[in-house]
Amino acid sequence: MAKHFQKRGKRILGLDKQSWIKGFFVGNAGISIVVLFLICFFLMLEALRFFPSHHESLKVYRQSGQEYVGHLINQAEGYQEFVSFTNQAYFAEYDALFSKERGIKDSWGALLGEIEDEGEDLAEALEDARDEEDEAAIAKAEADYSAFLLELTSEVDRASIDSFGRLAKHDDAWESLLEAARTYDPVEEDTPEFVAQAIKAQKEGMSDFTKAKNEIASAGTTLKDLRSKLVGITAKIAEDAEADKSAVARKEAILEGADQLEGEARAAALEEAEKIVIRDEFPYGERVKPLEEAKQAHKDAVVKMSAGLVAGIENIPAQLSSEKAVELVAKIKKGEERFLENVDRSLEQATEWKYDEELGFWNSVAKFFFGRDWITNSSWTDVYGLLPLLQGSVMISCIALFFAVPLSIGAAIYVNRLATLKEQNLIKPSIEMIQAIPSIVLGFFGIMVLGQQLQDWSQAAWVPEMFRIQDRLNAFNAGLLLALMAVPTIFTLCEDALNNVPRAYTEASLALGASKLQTVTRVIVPTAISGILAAVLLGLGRVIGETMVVLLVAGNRISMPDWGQGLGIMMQPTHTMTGIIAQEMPEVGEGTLHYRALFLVGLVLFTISLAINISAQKIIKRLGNA
Amino acid sequence: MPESKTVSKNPFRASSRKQKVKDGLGVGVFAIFTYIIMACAVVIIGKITLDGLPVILKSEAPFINTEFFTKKTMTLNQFDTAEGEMVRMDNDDFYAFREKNPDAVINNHKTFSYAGGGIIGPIVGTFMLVIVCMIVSLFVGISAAIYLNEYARKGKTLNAIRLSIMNLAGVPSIVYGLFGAAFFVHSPFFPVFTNTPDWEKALFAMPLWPTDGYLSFQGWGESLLAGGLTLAVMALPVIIAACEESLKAVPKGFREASLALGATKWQCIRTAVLPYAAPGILTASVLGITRVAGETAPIMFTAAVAGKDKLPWEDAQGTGLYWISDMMTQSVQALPYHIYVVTGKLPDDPALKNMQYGSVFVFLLLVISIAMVSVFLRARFRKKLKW
Repeated sequence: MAKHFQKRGKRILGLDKQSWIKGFFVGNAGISIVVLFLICFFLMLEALRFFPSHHESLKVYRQSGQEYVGHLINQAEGYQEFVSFTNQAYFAEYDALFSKERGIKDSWGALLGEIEDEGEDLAEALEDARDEEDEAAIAKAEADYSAFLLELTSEVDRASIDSFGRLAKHDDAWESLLEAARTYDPVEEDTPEFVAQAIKAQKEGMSDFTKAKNEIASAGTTLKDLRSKLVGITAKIAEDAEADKSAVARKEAILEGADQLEGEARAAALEEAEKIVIRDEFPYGERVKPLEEAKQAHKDAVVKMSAGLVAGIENIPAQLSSEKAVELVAKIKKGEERFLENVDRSLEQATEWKYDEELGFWNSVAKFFFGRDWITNSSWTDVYGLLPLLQGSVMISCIALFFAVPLSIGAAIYVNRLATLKEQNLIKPSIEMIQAIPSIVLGFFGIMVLGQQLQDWSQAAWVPEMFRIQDRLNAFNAGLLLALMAVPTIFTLCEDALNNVPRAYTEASLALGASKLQTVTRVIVPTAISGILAAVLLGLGRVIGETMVVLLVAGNRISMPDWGQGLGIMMQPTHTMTGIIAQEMPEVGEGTLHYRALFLVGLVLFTISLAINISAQKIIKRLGNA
Repeated sequence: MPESKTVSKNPFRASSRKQKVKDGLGVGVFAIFTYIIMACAVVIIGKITLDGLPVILKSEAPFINTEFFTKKTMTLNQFDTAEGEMVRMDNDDFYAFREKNPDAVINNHKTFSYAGGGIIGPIVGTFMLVIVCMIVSLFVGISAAIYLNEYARKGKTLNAIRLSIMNLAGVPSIVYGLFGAAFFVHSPFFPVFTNTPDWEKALFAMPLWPTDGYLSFQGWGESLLAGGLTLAVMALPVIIAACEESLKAVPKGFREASLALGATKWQCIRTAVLPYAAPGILTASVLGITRVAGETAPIMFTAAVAGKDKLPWEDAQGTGLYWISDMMTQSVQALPYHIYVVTGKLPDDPALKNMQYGSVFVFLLLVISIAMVSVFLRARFRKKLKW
């Protein structure tokens, strides 16, 4: 034993064994500092390089005229929405008013098609016979043909002819169609009287709406043509500008290759190298001239479009009988004013566009932090805007905390102060068990079970219209699951806080005659409030950084919420900061702009979680000491 | 001054009826909240068990669907036979079937990637990741906890370490994933033993005489090591906290007695502290690691792949050190990622249901049973070790 505790004086590098051992432990403890530093460093390394490349790409976007054409595309696409809405309204109205007539018209066409397909030979025979004016042959051909018609009409498949079932309730019309088909003459190709009438009736009945529809549709065509023309031009400019950047390298490569060639091949290579023009600066000014010239045409097209839209909408009949059409037209009228304003503003911005206007560096920062779109893998241009993702994360966290905070604080109070020992021994491990449920399992449950269940429940009669769930996967679903994830965190920390309340407080309160509940609500909770607040904050941190549940369950639709729906936005699919990283990261190449954008989102997330953590610690310190 | 008419009430009077009802209601509300939480957990675990149990059980002996645990993940084939009966077959069975009956009628043939076979690949991958994570995080975590609890004096170093541990605990798992991708996967600071260095990526490669291989600093790529270390970094704060708690539970008297007998600091820790803290350290750490191992986000970009038809050691090339190095730099399947692939990435179809519920159930069973055992053991140790 004595040998065990003998001191040994052996020193290595001036330090004895004990110092070395201590140093080893210090080093390991220091790893946490190193790791935190490395996380900061590597996140920033990628994330901060986003801004210069983003600035560069925005610059090209402006110089190549894509910025200008972007405005034009937005206008054209916004208009396209009106065209499609009017079309939908038109056909809804059409169906409501002239379902039978349309059925007659379409079915007649389909029947004729069938007759002509199947009876082509017989019809030709009949025509030949008539040409030759051979009575007997004519009689035979006619008999054959009507036999064929009789057979065809008797076994024709009603569902395939009247494919939309428009005549399902009009057996008489169907019968008269068959009747007319039986006496159809393939040479004369005459249309039966009632079919012609039906066609005429619907034409007249819909004439106003048809006119309005066509007016709206045709007003947008000029802009549409202009758009496809300019898109081609700017895409070419951007491509050439990109090629220009690598011109020097390409030329060198070809020249190097030419050195190893002989004779004609060498000459050809040299000639090719000669063709590569090396410029100091890409002549954007010259190239974007067609765009400058198109400005007037663009203005005219927009004016024409706006006028056409206003006139067209005015011409839509005021009295509509289809509910869906009424709804759509109301939507069109509601959107009209906003659209016209937007178009005017965007036209103004477009005309102000100059290819050589200076683009401040802060633009690339602002475009990221205040951008309202996140569009990647698009055919036009990628946009990285944080706002829709941030609001998705915040919204889901709010829903989660709304449920988790009362539940877990209530449970903590109950377990800590009110429950029997037996209950405590049941509940505490159970909540620890909830913490052990992996997030992917909760996400799985959300997709497979909860989504459908919530949607079914939300269709109940007492649920207000705006809370009816359209999409199975939405923010609310994700929020509920995240609430369950946050419960163990908040519960445990809350319980700790309640445990820290000195026993004397409870005893004093009870001695004064307060009931158990009064003691809890008026003495213990106010004393522990700083700990409870910190617990809620840390719960928020846990929820906002959670990935798998939101990736699976939140619906992954990137859009700014439509606040017009009030709280109904909770029922919409949304996307989050964590979700976007998990979804897009595996698909992007290392070092691309997109890759860096995702790291920047990660850095924002990291900063938020640090801020939450630090403020939780501050709260504990400040309020705890008071 | 007129005498006050309000007589102060007797503080020891029995509570009024109203107050009693109020109390009962308040307590009831808190109790309901508590049991709502428990009910949610029961519903989730119950539903998954009900639908998952049939997948891993069989009606005949040995009553367990061993194929589900021993086969590799493969494509599932679904088709209608001539009689119009719908049949589902794993890829290998399907090819055997086609070979046997070349004339068999196969209508409506559909295939579903990753939905057939078993889950040996994901299970093995998860275990290997957890082992790497455990070795690293236990080593560093326990040492750090020993420093914090035994050596550290109040001061700037201690504050800085505590602050960073606390902040690390709050970092979102996906951020750990990004960090792992940038540091362990892409950065070239990490060496591999290989015969064919990737010269473009490598910082430098050291020839290892007399073999014709290199120690190449080219980064680990998406691999077991990268994933395991990312998980380890993430588990670190949890483990440090757990270990510290166990070390704190060892009474001060033990240390004082040991030091008084002339033991050095290290001898004191080794003989008087660690043996008594060890059971607590182990159970709490296992609990922490289980929680971390259930995470999907950190391994998404660092280790996991959707499908792989060979286990890591079957795929590894070379011998000795090269073999180990190659095995550890393989990407692997992992259970949580596998669940994500079959539920989140593939279009939903009834044919996937078996694989979905089966793997979720197995995963949940693993995680919950480990957690339960360690919670139980911890409770026992606490009772047993009373001083």
